[in-house]
Amino acid sequence: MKELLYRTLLEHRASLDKREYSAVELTRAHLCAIEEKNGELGAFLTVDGEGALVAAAESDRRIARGEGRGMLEGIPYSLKDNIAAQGLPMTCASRILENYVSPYDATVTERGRAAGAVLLGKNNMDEFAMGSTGEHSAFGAVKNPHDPTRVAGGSSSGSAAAVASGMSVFSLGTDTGGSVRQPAAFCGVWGLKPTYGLLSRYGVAAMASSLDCVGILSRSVLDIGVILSVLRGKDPRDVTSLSAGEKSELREITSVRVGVIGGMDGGCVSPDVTLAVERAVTALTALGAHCDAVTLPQPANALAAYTVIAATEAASNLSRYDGVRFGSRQNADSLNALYENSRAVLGDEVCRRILFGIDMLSGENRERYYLRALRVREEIQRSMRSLSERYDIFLSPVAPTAAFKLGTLPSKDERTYADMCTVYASLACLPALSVPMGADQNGLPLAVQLCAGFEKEPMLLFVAGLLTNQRGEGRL
Amino acid sequence: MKYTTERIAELAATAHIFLDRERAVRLSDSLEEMHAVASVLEDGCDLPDPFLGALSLDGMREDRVGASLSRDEVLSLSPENDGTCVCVPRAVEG
Repeated sequence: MKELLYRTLLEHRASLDKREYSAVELTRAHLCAIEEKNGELGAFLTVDGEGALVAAAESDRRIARGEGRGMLEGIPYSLKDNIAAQGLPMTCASRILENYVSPYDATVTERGRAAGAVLLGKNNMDEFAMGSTGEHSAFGAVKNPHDPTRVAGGSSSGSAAAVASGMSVFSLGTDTGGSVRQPAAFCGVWGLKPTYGLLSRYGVAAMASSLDCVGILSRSVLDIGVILSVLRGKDPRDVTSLSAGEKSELREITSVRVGVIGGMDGGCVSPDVTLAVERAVTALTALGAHCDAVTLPQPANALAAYTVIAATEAASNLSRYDGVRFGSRQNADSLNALYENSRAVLGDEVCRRILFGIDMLSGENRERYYLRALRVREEIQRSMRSLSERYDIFLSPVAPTAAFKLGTLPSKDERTYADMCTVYASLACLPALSVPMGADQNGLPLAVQLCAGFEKEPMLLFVAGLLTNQRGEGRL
Repeated sequence: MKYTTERIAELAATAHIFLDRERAVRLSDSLEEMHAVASVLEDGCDLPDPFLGALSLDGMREDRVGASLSRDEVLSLSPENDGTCVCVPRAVEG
């Protein structure tokens, strides 16, 4: 059954439709992989084997009757544990939600079920999506499948590890400031942060509501396109969701303009990552695209704005986990003590961001930091809209290095640069894709990031597909 | 140093998070680092007012269930919370 692992969604689709194997066999293969590998990698917090096999059997019956529901019928997948699935735990990798079972499906989960996808379980993550290593889960760190002594990245750590190790065909994560793209890069899979609002956030535990996006991790760019087409669309339960509608016209690659982002790294990018970007530029140029060096506007201001906005919104959103509305209650004699005792289980990374967010909203700080951060974001959005009129695609690293060792901390410059690479797309609500680009001298995955204009996912996936076909790396 | 243990204690009290001294000390350096990133905003930005609504601490306090209720009144709103499931979800608000 192991030969069924590591194939793409489209490959499985063709085989399932030809009855080369069944959805039940496919699901069993993945459940066996989880049983074999999850103990070491920690990618899953919840595995719903029984539910998955029931769903797979139903898929097989529909396929046999010629009533398959489309591209996702019978395909096993997983969800980051901050996305609701009815009847399954939704811990957000936090002790405060240790016993919480979701009474409803998120919209993306609902649409996946309606399309016949088979939910295997919930993936581990950094607590409340705060972190970029996969080490900040209350239930143990996620390890990188390519080298289990290294981080998987975060916060969608389990999602990336599950896809990379053959435990899931694809996974849905969330990306606020890089949390799908960076773990995808570290684990050698494709990771898309779509245009803000393209995928509904209903049923997704909010971290920073104006930045959060549901994202897709998969083993090929074509899979990303298929999954996006099934899950996207207006949701009346999410007022920020966008209507489905193709606003991007594809053109010949020879007329595509690529802005290669530079001027931010301060010398902290590894030679291997630099080489990956150069290989991407070479491949795109060989295809006939026009590549120019560009500098993004106000990188230091952009990072500051992201840091403040993300922390302030997170502080507000996480106030609901108080032992009354959500979260296990730790009783006490006074109400304040009840809140404090219940929230005492929140991890250090979460506390840090909540405290900082509250400080940025306190007294004079609100004007000095928070309102200015909003103004900077407006300006960044204006600048990126203007740049998007001149360039179809922006190319940059996702992170300055490959995955680093567990328990270590990258240098301050590396952390700053890593954030700068990813926060622009988040602040400007643009789609951005982590594209695997081979491996470094230690065999660790490398990636580059492609970013496109607002709702220009078709152009983004088109260029990414051509880039990797040019390099012979269209799938993993 | 901006984030003294006293300042961290004040912020923790506002956030309704109990922090012991050891934890407060542990958080101090990382808070200073976040502030260093944010400090570029102090130079001032001659930019138009944002059209997005702004958060405020007052809003957060008003959002706190039971801001003006007693402990028993608050607990009567959700009498049995073993952490398995409490609230009916609401649509994401704009």
